[in-house]
Amino acid sequence: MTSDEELIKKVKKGDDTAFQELMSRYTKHIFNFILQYVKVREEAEDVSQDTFFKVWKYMKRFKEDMKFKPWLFTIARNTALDYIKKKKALTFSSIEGDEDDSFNFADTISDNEPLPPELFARKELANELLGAMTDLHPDHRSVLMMHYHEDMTFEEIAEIMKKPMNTVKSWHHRSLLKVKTKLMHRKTQ
Amino acid sequence: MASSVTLKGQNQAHAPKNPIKAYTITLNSMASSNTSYKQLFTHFPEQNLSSEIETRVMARIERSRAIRARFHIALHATSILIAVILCVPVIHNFMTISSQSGLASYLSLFASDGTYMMSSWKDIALSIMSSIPIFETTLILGLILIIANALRRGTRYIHTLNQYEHLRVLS
Repeated sequence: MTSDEELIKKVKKGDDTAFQELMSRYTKHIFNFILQYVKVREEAEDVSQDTFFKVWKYMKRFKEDMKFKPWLFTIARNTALDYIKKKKALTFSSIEGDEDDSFNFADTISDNEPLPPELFARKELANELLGAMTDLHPDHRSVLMMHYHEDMTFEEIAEIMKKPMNTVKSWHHRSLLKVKTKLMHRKTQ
Repeated sequence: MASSVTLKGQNQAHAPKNPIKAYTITLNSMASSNTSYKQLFTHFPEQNLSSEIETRVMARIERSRAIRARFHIALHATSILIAVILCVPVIHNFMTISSQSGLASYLSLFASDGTYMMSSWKDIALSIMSSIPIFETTLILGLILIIANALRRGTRYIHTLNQYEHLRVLS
């Protein structure tokens, strides 16, 4: 399989087929990532479309020493935030400003307990997980998605979010605790 | 004063005394926790999006190329027009100065008796060179270059625009 970097070289030379190949690799990932910010499916499709158009437009700015995946997700996040800002359906402060980025000692303590095996036996686990994540801040949901679903490192996520790595780790830790608590609470119900 | 830290719920009798062993257990536990969450997120319901999105992005790219091509065609057409308009006074000026400097006489001599000019070119080359109006000649050559370059680039953009129109008709 051709690597992303090789495809990018071809795209820079004007190869549209290479760009289509890149798109087909990441469309689903980007769409699901944008859905963490933009809830309406049709709007998320439009934002995904905008994202890939921007990727094509700014491809010349992509340097060889950069990694494509974090760059792509950065564009996707910025496009989604711009869309929200323009639409004003959600107050922008709830995305950018209200976050308590302070580094707590509690956040440094790892939650070393694996999830109970019986949790995975539940039929409705997919919907329960979705429900448990609904109340999280969009950026926090994205951190979980990127780390566990996209296999990204905290360093890469911090680069995408334009936040210090400790903040990202803190968000990750808090979000995990919330999700875990909700899933366990549902289990007891 | 000595102080001891006991983790909540931890049975001290079962706690490993070897610090390396304790560290290994913690690492294993962390890895197991990470795997456990990774496993959990494999259950995250992924949404499929319409297959048309890639086609729509490509159509948008083609549209953007067409807009760019139209802009460049207009730009190059304008530069050709300006260059052609500028050529009129520059050529007129070149003719006036060449008739005053004697270049016109050399040119008419070349037209009437070319063999004489060819045989004695060494003697008259220097005086022909000094009679050439350098500034006007440079201006004319510059304008010709601008026109040629605009034609070359403009043709390329016309080709891009034709391709887009062709695709649009097909779709």
